[in-house]
Amino acid sequence: MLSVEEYTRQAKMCVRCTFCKFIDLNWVKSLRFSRQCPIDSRYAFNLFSPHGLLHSALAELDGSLEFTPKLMEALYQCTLCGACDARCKRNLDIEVLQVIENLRIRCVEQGKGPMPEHKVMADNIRKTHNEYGEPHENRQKWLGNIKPAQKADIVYFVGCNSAYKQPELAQNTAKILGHTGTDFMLLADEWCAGNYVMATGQVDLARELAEHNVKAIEDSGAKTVITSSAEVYKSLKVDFPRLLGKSTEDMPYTPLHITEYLDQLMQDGKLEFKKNVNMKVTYHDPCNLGRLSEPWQEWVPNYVRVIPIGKVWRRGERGIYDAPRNILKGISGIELVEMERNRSNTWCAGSCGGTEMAFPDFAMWSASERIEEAQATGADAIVTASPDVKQLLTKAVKAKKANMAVYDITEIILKAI
Amino acid sequence: MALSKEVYKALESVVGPEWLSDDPAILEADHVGGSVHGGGDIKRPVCSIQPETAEEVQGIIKICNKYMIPFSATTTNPPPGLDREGVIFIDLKRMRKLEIDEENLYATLEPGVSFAALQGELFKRGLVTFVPMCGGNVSVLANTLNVGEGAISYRYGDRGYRRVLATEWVTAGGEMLRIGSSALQDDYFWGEGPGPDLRGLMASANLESPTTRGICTKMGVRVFPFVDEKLEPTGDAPMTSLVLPSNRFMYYNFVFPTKEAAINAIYEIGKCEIGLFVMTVPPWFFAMARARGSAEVLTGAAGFWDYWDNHEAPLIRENPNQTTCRILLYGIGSDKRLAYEEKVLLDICKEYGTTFAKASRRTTDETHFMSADAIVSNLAGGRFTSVILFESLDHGYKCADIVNVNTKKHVPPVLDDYGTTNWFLPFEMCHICKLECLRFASVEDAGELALLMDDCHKDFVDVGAFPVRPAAERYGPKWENYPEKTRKFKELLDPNNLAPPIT
Repeated sequence: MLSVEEYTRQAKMCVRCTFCKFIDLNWVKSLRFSRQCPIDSRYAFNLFSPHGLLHSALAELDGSLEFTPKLMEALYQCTLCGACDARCKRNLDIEVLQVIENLRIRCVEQGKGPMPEHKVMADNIRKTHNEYGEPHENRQKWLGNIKPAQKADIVYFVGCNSAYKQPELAQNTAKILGHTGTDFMLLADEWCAGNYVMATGQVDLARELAEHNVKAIEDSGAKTVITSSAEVYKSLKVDFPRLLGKSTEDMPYTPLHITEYLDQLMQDGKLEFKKNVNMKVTYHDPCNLGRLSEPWQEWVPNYVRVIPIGKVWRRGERGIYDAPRNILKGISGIELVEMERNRSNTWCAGSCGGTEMAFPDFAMWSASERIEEAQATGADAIVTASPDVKQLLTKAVKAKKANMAVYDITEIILKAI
Repeated sequence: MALSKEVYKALESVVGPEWLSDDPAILEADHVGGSVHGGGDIKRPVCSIQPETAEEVQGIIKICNKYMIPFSATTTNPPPGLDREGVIFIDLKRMRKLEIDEENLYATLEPGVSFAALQGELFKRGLVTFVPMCGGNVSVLANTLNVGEGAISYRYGDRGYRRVLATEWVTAGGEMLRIGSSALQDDYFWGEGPGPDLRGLMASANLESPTTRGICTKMGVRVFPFVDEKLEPTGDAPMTSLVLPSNRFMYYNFVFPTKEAAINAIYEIGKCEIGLFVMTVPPWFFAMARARGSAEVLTGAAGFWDYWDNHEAPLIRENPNQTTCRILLYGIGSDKRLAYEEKVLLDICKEYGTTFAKASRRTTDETHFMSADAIVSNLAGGRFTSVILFESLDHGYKCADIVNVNTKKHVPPVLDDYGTTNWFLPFEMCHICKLECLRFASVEDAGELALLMDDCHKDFVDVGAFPVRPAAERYGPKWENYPEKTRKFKELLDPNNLAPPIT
């Protein structure tokens, strides 16, 4: 979390150039899909924009603005998708996302935030260790007849959504790992990874979840943690080290998204897809797997005049973009076509940052935008790598009555093996 | 100061409740000065309103006139005239209609269309526009009214106002004014007449904000034929670029032993009419490019300084007069033309004693077609300012020295640049050029940048140069009291003096 001094410094660096609202300009191909900030695109008022929130952060700090309902509406409708952050770091290198995250933390600290739905989520997690308030003892119910190893070098971190809402995705992951001959185990006591807890500014609870899960991983003895959830992946790779004051490389485990793991197996010649899957698909990069998933490097602010010394930047370029594409391209019959906003330019489908919980209509609007973009490619299906995103896109397809299938990438992989 | 319920209701009836707000958080975010060197005395507006059509803009302005409420309008730039109390802020971002007439080579657009979006649409059709150096994210309409220059103005004509065709305005008094062909029919293909050409009267590039006499709601802009081959984007930000077809484009960077040699060679390049654009490149541009980093070179600002201190600065100290230039050769029509241009360039370079420099020959474009790196300059310091003027190359060269002298008075040396941060961008085959002098300061010293700008403008006017938007009282006496004439027009078109003032 940023110190007040660093928070102020970063917010003051904004010159309101508005680069934060657009995809990387070299990638702009149309008026329709040139913008990238969901709240700005939907509401257009400057408050509903990255630079508006940065300015609000300064105004709140100096007492000229309080956490009014309107400010909280803008602050919590922001999906924290990181598009602004990646764009700003082409030019100004401001930590836009961290400032907005810190503004949420201040909102919670002052007893104004988060939104009521986020408080319910937090209460659920405190009581049952999952965001839905489902019985904790049901967390491994998805296993059915699947029998993970008692002891293995690899842990599969399932995540709340796959464990409770879409158990078939957890089963897919387990079957795929089984197909590749990968021994894996589950954590003895997996808790919610806390992606949305962290995102909504509830840092104390987020830290508690990080501490518990990291200890559980350490106790397991495994050195690699695989997940098929983009949200869990970001927690493992970025939030846990950040909350514990460490860098990703200093964590006692290596986090891998299932697509990274399988891509590596493909490169090593240990995985082949033998079945045809005849489908024209487009791939939606989940924000949490793409631009938000770069390794975290702890940095103590150290400036010589205006120059940060020893800082490593997270600009979104090192996200997981190639692995899922390599897998899709490796499946015969699949024709992969790209949407205009892809890779680090991806449009947020609306499920990030806890936004969907508190503002479902806005999240649905954002997802609908993505569906329209997918339709513009002529694809039959949109494939993603996040259970939460799949769930929201599926709702949007139904609401729009769009003729398009939505898949999690594990579903496609399972068809091909 | 708050807006009365009566006025609020009236405004709401124009745009609907969703697009009007007087919430303090909304207004706080709107009142940002946001200029690179500090915002000045800026006040919160009394409400923020977002029209979607020209008719809605007109409805708002009529209400402003009825109740005598000042207004200010903008799209991507910080709004002008927010130093006044009780302003209604009109945000034009929702006005985003765009039509392209491929056959007749013009586009008709509203204020919310950005240059990058227009360029992207044009590329699909084998057409091109020039994107201003301040960034492809800015409004085409607003920037074209203001200055509207871009790199390829070198080949396609001087700055924005030569591209303006018919325009639609809502005057500050609330009248709908259509200039050019749109006065006769709903078509924006032609800018002049009927009767006197009023475009200059409304746009007044360089002198003050174009919104001082009304709000432009629609504009026809000229676009240009381009290559049929696609310019393909590549890379993940921040390391993105457009891959240019190598049979039609070629970049060269080359170094001249002196600034004078560089200026003379650029003149020669213009005379020979080669290239899509040509410019001088201050050495810190290379450090900036380096600082953008990649997965392997995670350098950021520290990288900038490392590269500057260890590579660029020593070279400059050794030979402060050495000047780097960049040209993009353009096989307009055919690849044979490209081969011809390369031969001509090499002859000129030989004549003026140049050596080819870093990445001297390449076919990727990182920034010039989309102006993707416009604000990267801020990396070197907490704030920067940009002193700009349009002059001949010779005169601009002299004016650069004025900036160098004033810099020493005002700006602590965040970047000890030995006077090399100035750069020249010629237009119209070098008949005119833009001089831009970027100067850096820490956030704490940002006020000095405004003072620097002020002093430079004063001195520029004294030597008869043509800077962008100096104070009118300084400028007027040197230029036939032109500001007095614009004030008269303002009185005519803004009878209640509600639009932003002429500064």
